[in-house]
Amino acid sequence: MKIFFRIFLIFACVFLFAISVFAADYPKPAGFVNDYAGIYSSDFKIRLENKLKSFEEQTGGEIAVAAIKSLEGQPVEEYAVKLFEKWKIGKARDDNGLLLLIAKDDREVRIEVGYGFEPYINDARAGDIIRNDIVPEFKNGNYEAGTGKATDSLMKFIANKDFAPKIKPRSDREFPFWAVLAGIYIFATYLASYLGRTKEIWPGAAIGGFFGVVIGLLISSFIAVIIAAIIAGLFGLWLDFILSRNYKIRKAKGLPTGFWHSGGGFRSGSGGSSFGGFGGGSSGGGGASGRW
Amino acid sequence: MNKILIGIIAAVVILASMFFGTYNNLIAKSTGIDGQWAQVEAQYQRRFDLIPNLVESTRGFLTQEKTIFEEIAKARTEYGGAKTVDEKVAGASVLDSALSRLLVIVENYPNLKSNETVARLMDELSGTENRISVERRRFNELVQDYNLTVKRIPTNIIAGMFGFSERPYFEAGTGAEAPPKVTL
Repeated sequence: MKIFFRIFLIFACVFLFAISVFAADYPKPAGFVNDYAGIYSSDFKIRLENKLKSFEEQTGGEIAVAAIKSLEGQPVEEYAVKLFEKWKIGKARDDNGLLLLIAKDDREVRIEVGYGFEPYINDARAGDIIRNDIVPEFKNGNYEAGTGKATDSLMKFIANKDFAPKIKPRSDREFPFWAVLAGIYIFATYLASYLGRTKEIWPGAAIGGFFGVVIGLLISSFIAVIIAAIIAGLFGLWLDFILSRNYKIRKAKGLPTGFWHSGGGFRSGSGGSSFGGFGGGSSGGGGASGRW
Repeated sequence: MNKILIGIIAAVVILASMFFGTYNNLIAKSTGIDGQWAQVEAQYQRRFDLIPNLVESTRGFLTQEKTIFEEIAKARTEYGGAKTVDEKVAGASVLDSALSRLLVIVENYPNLKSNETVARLMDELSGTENRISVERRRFNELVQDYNLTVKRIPTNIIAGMFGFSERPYFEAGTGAEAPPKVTL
């Protein structure tokens, strides 16, 4: 018995270690402007955020600004490309993203250009912006002026008619496939749960499990098939349980038990900030860096 | 009776989906590595095309530094003539070290550094070096992920049946791991 406990403990430790390794490092974006170093006033932040937001609405391009305190010993190029990988700035198909990374204590700055913007902001242009707009202002501690000028120049290069990129406006964005699948899955589970709510709770689990297998197959990984089946099955079981429970409660209270009224008790508001994350774009190390 | 039949069908479906899933997964990963290799080569080509420009605009300033230009020219020819992947990798790492030396030399000439054309070319060069190292890192990450999959139980059984074997990493030449720094 003791030995089992020990093995369990070892596994738990390994698992926790693995989690801590993956969770390290890069912060999550809270908007287009992310000031972790406290170099902007809140007034400037709002103005810049609005400017970048309306740019995104007009062109689809996403420009992110990140001001951090320290690179923690990493080269600025590496930090920028990894942050870009994590945040996925730009739309997935167009890769029209840009990252302006400012490392305050290291006095280093980088413009990391997404694949789709490379023809408009080539490395020389990115370098010019750093040399002419950013470095002179940053040297005097004018972070806001430097950032403002740099983002203006970047937008000018992108919006310039001679180079106007073929970027689809926001409304044309494709509805993500997985969201459709998830929608079907939840609807089907809900339906099955609704139909079977008074009897048993297993149909929800069965349908959930089946969709889990399908999803796992599409991801085409063998472990994913099993995990997805288990998770989806449990979800179905839970949904069915709640609907069955709600049915009894509502019946007892004399409330309507139609399709749309059965859900109460598990719906939760999404709430939170209006920023929904970036669009899934990627970069490949293009851009320029500089120091001040 | 009915329940046993359902059980058998479910087991068959799950086993078949595991089998196809694993096979597709291996194929997808393997193809991903090939695609990433093409990205690496594209960046090498980009650098290859950039060199004549770079040499032209800096040679006039650097009359005492003849050897570096000879080295670059030689390495470029070698890379241009490379046919197999191994030759390309070898040629690329010679170019890597020659170009990083040029970057260091330019650093030591303040006049050259402040020249706008040269500064832009240096941006392009260090950008290209950085792109290469990014694509190369991603290549190696994909290879690592794939190799791990191939070796893992039970995937290794299916991998063995269809001849999926481990793939080599891209080992960069010495001094080529990090992009050369250009401080302006």
